[in-house]
Amino acid sequence: MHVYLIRRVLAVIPVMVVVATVAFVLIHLAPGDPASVIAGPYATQDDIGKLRHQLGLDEALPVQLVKWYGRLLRGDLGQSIFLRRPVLEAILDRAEPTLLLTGWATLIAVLIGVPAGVISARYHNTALDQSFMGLALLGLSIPNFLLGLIFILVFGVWLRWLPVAGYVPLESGLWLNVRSLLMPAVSLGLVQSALIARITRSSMLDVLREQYILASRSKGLSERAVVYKHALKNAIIPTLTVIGITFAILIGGAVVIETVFNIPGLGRLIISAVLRRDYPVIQGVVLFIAVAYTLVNLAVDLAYLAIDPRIRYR
Amino acid sequence: MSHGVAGALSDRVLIAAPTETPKWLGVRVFLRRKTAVLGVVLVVLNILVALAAPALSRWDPQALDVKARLTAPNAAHWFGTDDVGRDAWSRVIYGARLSMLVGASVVLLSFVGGLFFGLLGGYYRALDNVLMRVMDGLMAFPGIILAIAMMAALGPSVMNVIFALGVVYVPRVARIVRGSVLVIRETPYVEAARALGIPDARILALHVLPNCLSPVIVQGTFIFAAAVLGEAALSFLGVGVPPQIPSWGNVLSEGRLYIQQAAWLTLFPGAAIMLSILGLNLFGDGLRDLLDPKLRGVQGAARET
Repeated sequence: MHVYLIRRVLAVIPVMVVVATVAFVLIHLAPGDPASVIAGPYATQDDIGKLRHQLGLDEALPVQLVKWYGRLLRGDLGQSIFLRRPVLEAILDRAEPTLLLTGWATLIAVLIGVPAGVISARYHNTALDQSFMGLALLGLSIPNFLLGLIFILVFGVWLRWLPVAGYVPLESGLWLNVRSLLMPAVSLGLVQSALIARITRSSMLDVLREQYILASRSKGLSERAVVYKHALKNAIIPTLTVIGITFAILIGGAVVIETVFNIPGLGRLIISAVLRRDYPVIQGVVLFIAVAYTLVNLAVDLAYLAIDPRIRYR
Repeated sequence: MSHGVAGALSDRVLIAAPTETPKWLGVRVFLRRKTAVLGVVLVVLNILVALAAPALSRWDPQALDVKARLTAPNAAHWFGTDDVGRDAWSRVIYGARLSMLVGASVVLLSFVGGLFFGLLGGYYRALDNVLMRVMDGLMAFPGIILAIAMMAALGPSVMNVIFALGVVYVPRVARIVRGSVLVIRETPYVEAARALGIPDARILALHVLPNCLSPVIVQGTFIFAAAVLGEAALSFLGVGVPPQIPSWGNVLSEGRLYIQQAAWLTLFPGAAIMLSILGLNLFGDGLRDLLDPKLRGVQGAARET
């Protein structure tokens, strides 16, 4: 178990190295001289030279790369060209709405997806199962930002129940904050619950075919006890892995949804940085999200260890 | 989408035993599923609309008519017009063209890259470690984030969207291929070929490659769907294809600004995206049941954009 644990934690290191390298390569992916691309068409040679020096682009590539790793190890993501402040500061400023949105969406996705999958499996091949799976398929076919737009249309424009867009920060009160995140979180979470429902259902169906389920049925346990006590415990494990992926999908989705609802989070930050060619901010946000995702996956794998003894004794 | 799911897929592939059922039985099973047939119909319809776009519309999708701006759907403009008076119907059907182009190209690109790296990694143990760590690293970025970042460096254009989304899906394909190759390389027929002194390149191309294709083909339909979604999302965010080019994401992006006055700019392209993705998902599910019954019920890649 300890060997597995240590290996799993160490496996994060090469991933981080690749992640850091990819973020570094990004700035050099642009055709031509990155400094003049960033400075824009109206910049003077002098400005470009200054910018090149400021970004360290006047050094040899390997030197740049080593310095980049060194800076990252110190937690220094550089200075935003446009915002004129440290990138890390800008990111932490904007992280609240994105993380809250992702969190709520994950909760919604799990709270809808897991029960729907379990019920579908229990009533396998009935009308109930088929209608749930039909809904799930529909859910998988609608992009989350489209669902968000439709929500705005229905609840914001036609029914006028909820504000069309905008974000109220947590410090202005929990209720107002939740209210402003309601539509975006539901449009993100609902789409994701479709995936979770399908995976929960298929893993439930697998488990229900196992011998020990047959044994507990033959000793006369109620169907309720068999499904919810014995089968669910084992079936929930594949669903757990999906929560790691869910986080990646949802944080990616949050970035898009923020544009739909005008929420000032990391998504708006990176998109405005793209439009202004503010490369340090782009690199910073990309790194921040990749690191967060890697750590969430690590946590999920470690949670596995705690939950599933079969892995522990392998 | 989901590299974890892709991982789960590749694990399952290992169990899949070759079946001895005749070819056409599978096709009959496929056709018996009404949902799969519906999927095929939707996909074919989509392709036909894309191909026939110029014949289906009397309006140039880029022609401005400011006097007719934000006209509600009527007999002349079936889907209404946008804020500069462009015909939404023709922008939506030309958008189908772009979606099909992006989807097909991304699938092609991710297949070429994914098969290349997957075959190398699976066959040569020495390369495997390095290659797979790089793939893991690339997959540590949510797909849409990596695509946005690449678009930032490359600039908005159709080619760049294809390239960026292609790079996102190469590791996903490579993983699946590698999983199959790891099993295939241990089979007696590959061992026999090696004993005969057949060069590696020939073994890979003739004996390994054909046997790891079916899970990749199934994944291809989901990558197609994911690429269509990805293009729409990138364009919606304003970092995809240039705004004048008709694309579903571009129409939705303009529609968002006028959502209070012109709901049609959201509803029609939205319906187009949904039908297109639904068709691809149904088709993919059917294809998976046909090619690999063991994978039934496991969801493919369409969700990770």
